[in-house]
Amino acid sequence: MKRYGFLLFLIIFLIVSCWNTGHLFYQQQLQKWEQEVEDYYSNLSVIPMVIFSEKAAGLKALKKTIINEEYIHSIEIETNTEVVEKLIEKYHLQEAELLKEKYSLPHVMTIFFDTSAFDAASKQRITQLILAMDENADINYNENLWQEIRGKTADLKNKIHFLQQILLPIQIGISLLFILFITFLWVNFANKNNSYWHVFRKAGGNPKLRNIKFYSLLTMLTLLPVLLNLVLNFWAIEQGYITNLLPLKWFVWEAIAIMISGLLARSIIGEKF
Amino acid sequence: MLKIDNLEIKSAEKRVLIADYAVFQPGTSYLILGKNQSGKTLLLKAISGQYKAVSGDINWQEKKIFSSKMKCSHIFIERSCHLLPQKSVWENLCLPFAKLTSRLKNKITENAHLAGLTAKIDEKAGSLSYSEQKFIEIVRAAVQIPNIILLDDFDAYFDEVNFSKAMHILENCLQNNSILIATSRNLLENFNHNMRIQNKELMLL
Repeated sequence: MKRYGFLLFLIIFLIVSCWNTGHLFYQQQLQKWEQEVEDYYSNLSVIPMVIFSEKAAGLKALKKTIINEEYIHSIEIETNTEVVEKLIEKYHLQEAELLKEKYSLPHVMTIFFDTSAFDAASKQRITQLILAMDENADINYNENLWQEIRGKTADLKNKIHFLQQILLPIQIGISLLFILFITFLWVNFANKNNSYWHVFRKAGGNPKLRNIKFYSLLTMLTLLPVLLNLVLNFWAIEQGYITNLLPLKWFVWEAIAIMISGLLARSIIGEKF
Repeated sequence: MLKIDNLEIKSAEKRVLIADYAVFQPGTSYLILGKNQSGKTLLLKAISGQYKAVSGDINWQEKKIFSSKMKCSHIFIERSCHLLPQKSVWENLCLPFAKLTSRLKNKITENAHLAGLTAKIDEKAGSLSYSEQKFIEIVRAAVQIPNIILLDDFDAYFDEVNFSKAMHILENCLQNNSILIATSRNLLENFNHNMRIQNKELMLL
């Protein structure tokens, strides 16, 4: 009986371990893709949109209009005077200072985006607003890079979405298979012991003892494999094999599945107990 | 005290046995005599709660014997043996005990000695003769001192020598206020009261 109980523990422990490993791979893949998206966005966020326009008041009004949009990270405006002064200082053109009155330079507005929220619709909207403000404005943006990154991130986002969508059905499917298999083992375990308990009762043994032992074994087999896996998870983090702890609700889910299988088996065995 | 009142036992909708009134006192042994198919085993099964097609009352200390609050311990030794044949005699003797105290160990050893099982204590129970297997069941029951010991077809187990050994083992239970109810086809000695099932009725002789 003890041998069979240990075997049951071993099988449950191994299945739960495999289950957790699968979940770990899932989580790591998800994190990897999310990180890739994040990296793409951070590449994109350093490339601002630069607008050259003659209309300083228009640029200021535009800033006021779009500053609170979620895809805007920050906006800087430099007037043509500031631009010229900067250029003179940068290239040591103090001798050419007289030229600044001869040539009129445009004002410059630089928009930094929050790339996680910046999509094609936002880009179209902001372009329309700029052109509405000044149809001669010169919009400078690395279109090719933006399109390329947008394509890649959209692809990754689709994969992430797919992975998130299939998680629950897969979890339910595995849980059901797990419950059925463990229920079968429990019933088999109980049937193997039927003759022992029959003789035990006939010998005057406590008729409730089988139930007591069943539920104490069920409690132990519910907690022990799951707790051991939790400890293994911590150990793997400590050793640097993995980076994240599996969600605790996942361990609770497993414990519930084991408990359900035991209770199901008990109801199948019924009065024979 | 075990009391039977207006008990009617049925099998396949037919009346098998009626027991109008019978009282079984603690510390007393009762022998129920009857032919084959007279309903002796069914009566013991009804008392032990294994047979449910009964009407009337079976009371222990004035309360229904199978009510949840009533704790009446009983051991029913049936004609067939209930042992773990692959386990040793000792393991079979100790089977119902969760903890084996030294007092209990002494008691089992003493009774096993009386039954002549000492030499075979480590042998597999399945390799023993029928009467030796029955001794294991009787020793196991006697050590527990239950409220009631029910023995079916007692005359089928032993010869005269072994019968008196068995009665000697059971004597300890009677001294501790157990009730012993045995059935038999033949009259046996050493029982305090004899009863008979005749014409489907239980009567005191």
